[in-house]
Amino acid sequence: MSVVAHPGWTGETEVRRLRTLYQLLATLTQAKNLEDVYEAAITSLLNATTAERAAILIFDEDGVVRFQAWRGLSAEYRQAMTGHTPWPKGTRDATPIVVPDVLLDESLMPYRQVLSREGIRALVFIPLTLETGVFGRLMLYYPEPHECSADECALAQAIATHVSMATDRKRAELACTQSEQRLQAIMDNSATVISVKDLQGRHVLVNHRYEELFQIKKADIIGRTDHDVFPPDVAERIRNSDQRVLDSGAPLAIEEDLAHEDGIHTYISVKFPLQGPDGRLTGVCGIATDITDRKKLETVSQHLAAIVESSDDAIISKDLSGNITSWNKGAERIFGYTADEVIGKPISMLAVADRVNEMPEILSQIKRGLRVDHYETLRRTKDGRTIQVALTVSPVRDASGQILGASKIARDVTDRKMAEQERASLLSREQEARRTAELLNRISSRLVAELELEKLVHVVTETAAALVGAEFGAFLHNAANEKGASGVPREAPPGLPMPRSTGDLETAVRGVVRFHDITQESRYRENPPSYETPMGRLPVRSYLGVSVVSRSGEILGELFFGHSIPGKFTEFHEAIITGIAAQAATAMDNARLFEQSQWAQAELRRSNEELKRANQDLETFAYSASHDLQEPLRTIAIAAQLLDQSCGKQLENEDTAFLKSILNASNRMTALIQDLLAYTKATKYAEGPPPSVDAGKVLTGVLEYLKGSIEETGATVTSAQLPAIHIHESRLAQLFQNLISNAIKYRRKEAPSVHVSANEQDGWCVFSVSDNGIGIDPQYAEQIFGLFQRLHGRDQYPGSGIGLAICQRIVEQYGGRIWLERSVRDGGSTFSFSIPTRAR
Amino acid sequence: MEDRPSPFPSLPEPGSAQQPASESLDTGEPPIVLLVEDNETDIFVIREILSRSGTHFHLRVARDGQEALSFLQETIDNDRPSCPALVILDLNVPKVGGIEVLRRLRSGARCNRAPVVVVTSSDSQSDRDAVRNLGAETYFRKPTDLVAYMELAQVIAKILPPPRQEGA
Repeated sequence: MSVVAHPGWTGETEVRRLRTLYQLLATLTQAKNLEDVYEAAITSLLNATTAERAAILIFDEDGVVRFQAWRGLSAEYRQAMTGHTPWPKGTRDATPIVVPDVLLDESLMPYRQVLSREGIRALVFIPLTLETGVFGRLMLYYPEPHECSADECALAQAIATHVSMATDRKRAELACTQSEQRLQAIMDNSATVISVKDLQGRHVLVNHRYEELFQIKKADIIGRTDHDVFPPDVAERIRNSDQRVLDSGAPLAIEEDLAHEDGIHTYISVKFPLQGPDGRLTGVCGIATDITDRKKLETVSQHLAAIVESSDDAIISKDLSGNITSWNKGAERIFGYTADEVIGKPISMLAVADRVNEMPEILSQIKRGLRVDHYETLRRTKDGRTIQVALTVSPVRDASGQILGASKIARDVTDRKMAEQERASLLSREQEARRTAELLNRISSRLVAELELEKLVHVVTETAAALVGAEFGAFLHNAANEKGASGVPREAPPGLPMPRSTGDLETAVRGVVRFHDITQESRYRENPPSYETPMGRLPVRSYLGVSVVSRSGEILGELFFGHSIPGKFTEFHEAIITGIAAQAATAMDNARLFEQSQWAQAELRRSNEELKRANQDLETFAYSASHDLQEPLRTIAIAAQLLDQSCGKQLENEDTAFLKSILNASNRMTALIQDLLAYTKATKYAEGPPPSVDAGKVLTGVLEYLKGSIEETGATVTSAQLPAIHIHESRLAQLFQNLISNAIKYRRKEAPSVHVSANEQDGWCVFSVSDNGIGIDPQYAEQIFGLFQRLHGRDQYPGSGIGLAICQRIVEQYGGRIWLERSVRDGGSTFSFSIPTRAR
Repeated sequence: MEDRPSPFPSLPEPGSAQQPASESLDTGEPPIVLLVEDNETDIFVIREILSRSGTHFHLRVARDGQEALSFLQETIDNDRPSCPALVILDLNVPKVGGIEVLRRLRSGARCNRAPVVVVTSSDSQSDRDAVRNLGAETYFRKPTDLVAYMELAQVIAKILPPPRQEGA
């Protein structure tokens, strides 16, 4: 290798060289990028030299030299020669190397094969250098051995110098553009609004957010002032603040409100001056951040703070060590401590002695991110009171979700707790009462169903004992030898203390006696034998007794219950047995009533039987009257008549009277017996339901029958219109006959006048038979209806005194009644009888 | 007793043209009247009534039911051809009651069609019904009055044959 000196320039070559260089400069000026620079370098090298092929190689950042542009080189060659360099990167004072024949150059021995394959026989290396030393090289290739001329070399060197400068400039340019692009990208991706203005207020830079916010294109605002795009007042305000920054040379932070489509937005705007490299002001940069959301958040948190502060509940926060970090007014009110007294102190200061373990447990839950909800516990206040609180403890996390501590809401539920307990006890009392009522009802139905007194007593004792949980139960009731006992031997003797009323009847109903422990009772201890309880020798301690008092206030009995354990019976049990006693009283009253009614029914049955028997007797009597009684009488009568016929005239004095007496007596006796028979016939019920009969027709028949006596006495019998009624015809005829014949019989001196009338009212038909006869003393108004009742001597008025009795029997059979309606002594009388208009 | 006046009031003579109803007519024997009665007064009165009827007959008096039944049995046993032309039966008789006597008479092999006049003091409807059901001709209730008693004659006259033509 040999160094070639610069040859002197000749005229012709001078022109060519200059032209080539000018062209190169022009091309380099227009080069947009480094590739353009490299291409221009190759072109001008091939134009300016005799070389057929050329290349430019540049060190990369790692110091490896690589082909950037070339002419006529194979890829194989490029690959083989990449990285090979006569000068390391950054070598200073490097000079071109000319190799006229590669075969003659020892240093190229390793490359001879490659060079020969590529057809390269001569080479020229021209370094590209800058201040920083070699950064690449230009290469010229010749196919034949070639001795490079001084001109050629100088030209190549000149090209290298230009390319080096162009490369440097282009690199700087690229770096600047890159920097600006980076800045723009940063600005455009910022959520803040950024603008840069020069000293004259012209926009130099705006970011994407700015475009969005002011609805203006970058191209439309760059180089223009705020006055060109904003309303004068806004532009003036902005300009003023910009000027303040420029005047002071210091940053300025201001809050600005801007109207947006979705309302007013608030911006915090930071403006600062921009300085050039020489320290002179070049402009002002404004960066505005939309803090509307943050503002809102602030408002919300202020509200929250207010809520927390005004809450009645204690709202406390603590860190994970359990130290109190915040403390609201509610906490102060509930626990008595002020915030100053507790902030930074352990939360355990609120714990009650026996619940200190609770807090670490809660904390460990919180650390695991769990929430403690509606946990009711006890806490201690500053003044030492223990209060009941309901806690809700939740973990507090930071933005990354890390648990920082806990917030705790505590509510004082002491009052509520008390109210709850009260309500619970009320509820349980109510339930108890309801249960009692149900039990009593159930018993009640059993008791009501039981009408047998003995069983009743048993049921009462058994069920009541079961209800009050007594081991022993006894029921002593008034009937001497009736005693119901449950779990009590029969021989257990009754005794005291008895449930006693305090005197008056009212309290008697509630006569209850209850002993927690009867063996502790003074009466029991002082005088055991005489105060022996109904439980007698049983091991009774708890004792409960109640009177069973009837509605009328009569003490029906006493209920006793016992238990071997003291204090078994409560007010509740008192209530139960009081209820049972009341039920038992009612049931016993009922049972008694039942017994009485049964007795009454039996009595009625007996009476009915007696009546039946009496009727049978009467019938038997009637039969015997018609046979046995009448027969001898008839014999007497007939015999007496025979005697009278055969020898009546031969008798003397008294004998005649005797015979007459026999005849009279037998006649009267006959009449009596016949009347009696008529009466018993009237007593017998007529068979079948009464048919409807025309009373008028019946009366006509009767008057026909009585025609003889009517004519004989000159009586007049009149009648009103008579209705049809339900009655057996023969019975109505008997009534009319008896009453009318009486009316005629008991007449005064003048001719009898009889009137029959009828009056229908309220389902009854009342018949009246009036006469103008002798009348009846009212004091006998009842007596006259009796059997064989006569008010007058037989000599005055004949008859057996049975007619009205028969009448009464008849009307009574139809459910009716007969009575003396009117009677005036010597002024006549009226008899009335009533018969129901409808059959019964 | 011959001189004693008749104790009976004058009675209407029984009808003279009545046809005999008895089956014993052709025997020539006087008809038999069986009176079942224990009351001597009644026996006296009835005999008197019968005697005044003008009819010739044999009066047999049975003083209890047993005696009456024995007589009827005799009639059958002796193959006597003549059944009673009339049975006058009191219901209230000893040993066997009148109704039972009537029942046996009616249910017997012979003489079961003999006319029966029941003469009794009973007014019981059951007696009347029983007597009618057993086919007695007449139920005559013994009256207390002697004059009324005499009406029995007319009843008997309807049954017994007319008197022989002795007086005609």
